[in-house]
Amino acid sequence: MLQETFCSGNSIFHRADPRIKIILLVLYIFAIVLNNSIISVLILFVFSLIFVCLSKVSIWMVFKRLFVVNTFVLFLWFFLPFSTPGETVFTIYKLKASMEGITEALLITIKANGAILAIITYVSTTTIPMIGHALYKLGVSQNLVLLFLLTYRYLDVIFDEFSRMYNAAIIRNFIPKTNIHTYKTISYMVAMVLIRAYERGKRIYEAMLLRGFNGKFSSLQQLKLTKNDLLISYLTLFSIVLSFVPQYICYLR
Amino acid sequence: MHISEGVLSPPLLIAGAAITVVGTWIGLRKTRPKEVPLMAVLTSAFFVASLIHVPIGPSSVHLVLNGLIGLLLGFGAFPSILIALLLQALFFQFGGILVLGVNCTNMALPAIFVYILFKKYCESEKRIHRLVSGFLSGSLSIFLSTLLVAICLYLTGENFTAAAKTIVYAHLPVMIIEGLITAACIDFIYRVKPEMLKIDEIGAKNEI
Repeated sequence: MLQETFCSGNSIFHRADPRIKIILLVLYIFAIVLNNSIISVLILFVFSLIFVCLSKVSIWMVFKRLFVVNTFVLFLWFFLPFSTPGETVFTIYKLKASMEGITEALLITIKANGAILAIITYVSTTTIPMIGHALYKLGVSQNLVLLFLLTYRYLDVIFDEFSRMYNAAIIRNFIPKTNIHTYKTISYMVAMVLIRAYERGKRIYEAMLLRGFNGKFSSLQQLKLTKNDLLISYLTLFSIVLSFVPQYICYLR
Repeated sequence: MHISEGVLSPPLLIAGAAITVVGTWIGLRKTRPKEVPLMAVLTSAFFVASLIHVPIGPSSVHLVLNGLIGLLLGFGAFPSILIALLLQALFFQFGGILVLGVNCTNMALPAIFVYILFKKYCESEKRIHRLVSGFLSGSLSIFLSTLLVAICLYLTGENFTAAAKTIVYAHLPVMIIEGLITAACIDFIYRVKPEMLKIDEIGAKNEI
């Protein structure tokens, strides 16, 4: 059920070192957050689009993701144009939409979508175990990385367990409705999944111990920097610098 | 409830990240490698629970259960919620990377708050105590979370006030459902596996 939709493929982004990708992503999103003019943010958005094309992921899947993510942004569109004071553009039932409000909503839309595209190209092109390994190499605490990797490992197992229980309930004519019976049934299922997870968690530790687990985190994969990493670093840094140029020009004037 | 990237101002992002780092540090300080698998499997269970949609009237809402996370894991709620949100950002692109700190703080602070307030009543022998404290932790944690989201939006700009208020009102039905489900879960766990309510003490003792 949980698929890493974008991580298979062969492009400059897929081949890059995950450590470099994480650092670049953080810098890039910092640039998106710090820029506050439409032109700068648009430059970054266009670069995000170019990166998506370079990473050769399915464009259709990317747009499906963007659609879901934009619900929060859409929610803001219902309020911001009307609650920001400024020059009135149009009126709906005494509600005045201001130019400033529309500009701000537009700015947020571009920023949010640019950031999502960047997350897809930089980290969703990496498998989760590799991200965990890279985080560890970047100095994240070992326990946290272990927690991250094991949580990822058991998502599917727990999901299967819940689905099995839910299907059993459906077969026995459980129809979810707005009533106490439904809430009670669902909470008992959730509680049962938690209890089984608890027991499984203890068994897992014992099994790990039997196989020589000593609390250390090790990976067979070696991380190496290549020319490819330099290439995407230059690309990213170039786009970040370029996005600050319009502001600099305004400042000079 | 996830705030998207690019909405909040840098000072808020930094504040959220700082609180998350401190919270996660406190949560992990007492955790030894021994307890990590247990926490991890419970975190994935909470992740799966957050994918469950519960019908309400013509629509449906998905569970959050941060109150239950708080009651079960105690201070471990911070690392657990952080990992769940990170995985959501990586799998579904919900939320974001820089805004992760703020989103995690919004969810985990109320979880720890209800843990401190209600934990001892959840282990009470009287059923009514367990049900009432479970309901209050479930609904209070959702209320505080939405309140924190609203405060974040309000601090971003005056013009976000209307949106912030709407978020709080829209979550009132969710509060009731979360309360009911948390109460039933706590009661069920108490009757079926009472030792599970002691996980938050790991690290304090030597044995799980």
